[in-house]
Amino acid sequence: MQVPSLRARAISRSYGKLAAVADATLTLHAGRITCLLGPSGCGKSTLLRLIAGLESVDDGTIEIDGRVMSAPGMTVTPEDRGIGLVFQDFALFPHLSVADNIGFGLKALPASERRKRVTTLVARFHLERLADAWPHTLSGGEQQRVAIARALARAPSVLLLDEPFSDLDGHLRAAVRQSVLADLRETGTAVLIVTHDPEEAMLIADEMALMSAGRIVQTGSPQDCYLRPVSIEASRLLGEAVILPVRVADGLAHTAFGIIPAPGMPDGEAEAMIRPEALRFDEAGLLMEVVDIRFGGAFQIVTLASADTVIPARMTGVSLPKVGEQIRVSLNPACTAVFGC
Amino acid sequence: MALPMARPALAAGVALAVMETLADYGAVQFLSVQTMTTGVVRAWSVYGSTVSAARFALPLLAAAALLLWIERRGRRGRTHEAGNARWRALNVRQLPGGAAWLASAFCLVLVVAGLLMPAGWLLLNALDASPDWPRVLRAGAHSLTLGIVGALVTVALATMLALGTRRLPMAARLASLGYATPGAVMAIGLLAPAGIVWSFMPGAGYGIAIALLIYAYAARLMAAALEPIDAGLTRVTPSMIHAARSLGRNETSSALAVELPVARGAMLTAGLIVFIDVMKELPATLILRPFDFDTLAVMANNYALDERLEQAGMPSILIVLLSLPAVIWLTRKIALSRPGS
Repeated sequence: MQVPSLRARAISRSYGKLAAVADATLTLHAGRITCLLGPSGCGKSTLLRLIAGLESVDDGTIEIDGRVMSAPGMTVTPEDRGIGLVFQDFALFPHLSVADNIGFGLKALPASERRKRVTTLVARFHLERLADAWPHTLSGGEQQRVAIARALARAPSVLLLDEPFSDLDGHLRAAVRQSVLADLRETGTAVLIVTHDPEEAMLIADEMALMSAGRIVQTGSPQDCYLRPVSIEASRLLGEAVILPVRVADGLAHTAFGIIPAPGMPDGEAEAMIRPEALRFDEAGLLMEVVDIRFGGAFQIVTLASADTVIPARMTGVSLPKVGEQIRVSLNPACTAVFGC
Repeated sequence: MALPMARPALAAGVALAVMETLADYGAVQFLSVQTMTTGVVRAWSVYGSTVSAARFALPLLAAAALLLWIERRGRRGRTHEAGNARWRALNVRQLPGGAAWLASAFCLVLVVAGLLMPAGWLLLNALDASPDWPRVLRAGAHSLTLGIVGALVTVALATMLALGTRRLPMAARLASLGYATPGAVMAIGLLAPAGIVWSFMPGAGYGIAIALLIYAYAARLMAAALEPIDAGLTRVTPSMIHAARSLGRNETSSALAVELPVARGAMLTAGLIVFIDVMKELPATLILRPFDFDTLAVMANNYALDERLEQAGMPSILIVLLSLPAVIWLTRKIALSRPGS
């Protein structure tokens, strides 16, 4: 099997008593985009800095292309690790033109070769018109392209991007993201994108790594992570999740909304995680009253209440119920998961 | 509303003005006002007593430290200004008749009383006199050399300090103490170590004296140079340095390729400030200069003390002429950095 571009094994880093990264294991493969997702302050940026060699590990090892780059007491400097870095603020050098920013890392090459490489990158990231422009004259999206082109100039094995889309305007964000990702995939580099936005992460990732309180709690495809979370904590990282107490018997969890499968779970008390879109209209379902409706554009959040439960449901469609109406709903088991208490 | 908000800045301004007054030697000496600073210089130059000079210097140093503390405290109050740091364009307002005349007259009084009258008077005097041209030109060359070398050395040291103090912020504050220290006090403080060096290297008196003089200028004007350079370096974000590192540059090379070019304008500003200050520096130069080594300021001072005012005119005008291009450049730059222009 192909050697992973990056392999971080059980790495830890503490600041005093605070364990910023604890026992984190992560593997990145060439040509794949991995999203590191977690709330602010969970240690994502520290993990990124550890991988980049800007911080040293207390424990564990980091290998890039099979070469150990970080181990306790040993850190290969950022300039010798073969990584590319893209920051939230893009960090373009204000005193250099776009072309010179992109060529900044190519000092060792002969001038003609450097020019050729810069021209290729300028073309790949559609910056021809801006090659002589100054960074401060560029839009956010253009600056981002320059930052990525600059980071890729030295053909790094691993490209690290820290919240690269969060400074872009809302209406441009999706379009910029899509075209940048298409260009990134073409380069065949292993890409790690740090973000705190679950929807964005699921949209762009081939692989996800969910991080919470310094630990990587789950890795896998976006679908796996969303639909088959390994814990309640992991399920909450990817979006709204309602937790209901349930009883498990013979591999089935019994809820007020019906039965959901709980394979391998021991009999007894348990907790069910239900995504808001798991509730659907069902003539044979549980009778509930609509107590609130919030319009969210493509969907609406309908809050339903029964005698002992209040639960939000994410519903789509034009003929939705009104507040005060009684409707019958049941659960789509694909959007649920059961965990031991 | 505006006045209370500006109070910290006003206090800082007053402290700065008092600091300058405390340190002033030329004017008070000429007008025969007995001050601590004239006391320091006289104790040394007339009585040759470093002990009594130091006795005058100590309270001055304490006062300087107190003023510096007040000025720093005032600066801390500027946080609300920094809070909404975006420049707003100032409205240009057309004043009605009387007010317009009053405003223009006020500005005119400043220029006439501060520049035109003294400079005109000097010019008139100078025209009457027949200057000792070889001496004036030699003093001019000395002033210019000291100004340029002082500016280069101070800016080089301040830049290193600014780069280094990103890790040791206390060091910058310590180095800035010199700004509050009157030049005479600084020079007296340097005499003791100078004596030791002299005793080891007899015959190198001239070179040592010049080196000490440059040292005194650098120590005295460190804060003035450090401030613009520090401000210039804040344009370099940590992520820019990290980006440079990931692009194959080590720490030193990142500083040379990113930090220094970005702060280039600020370094020039700092150099000009030091140059202007050195051109007119008097007390430290009087105490530390080698025998028979005149600068324009020293010459003007000596003529003035001998009541040969018409002879003092030419060196004084030369100081203004040599400093003028630097002053014009600086004021233009400051005006450009202001909003509404």
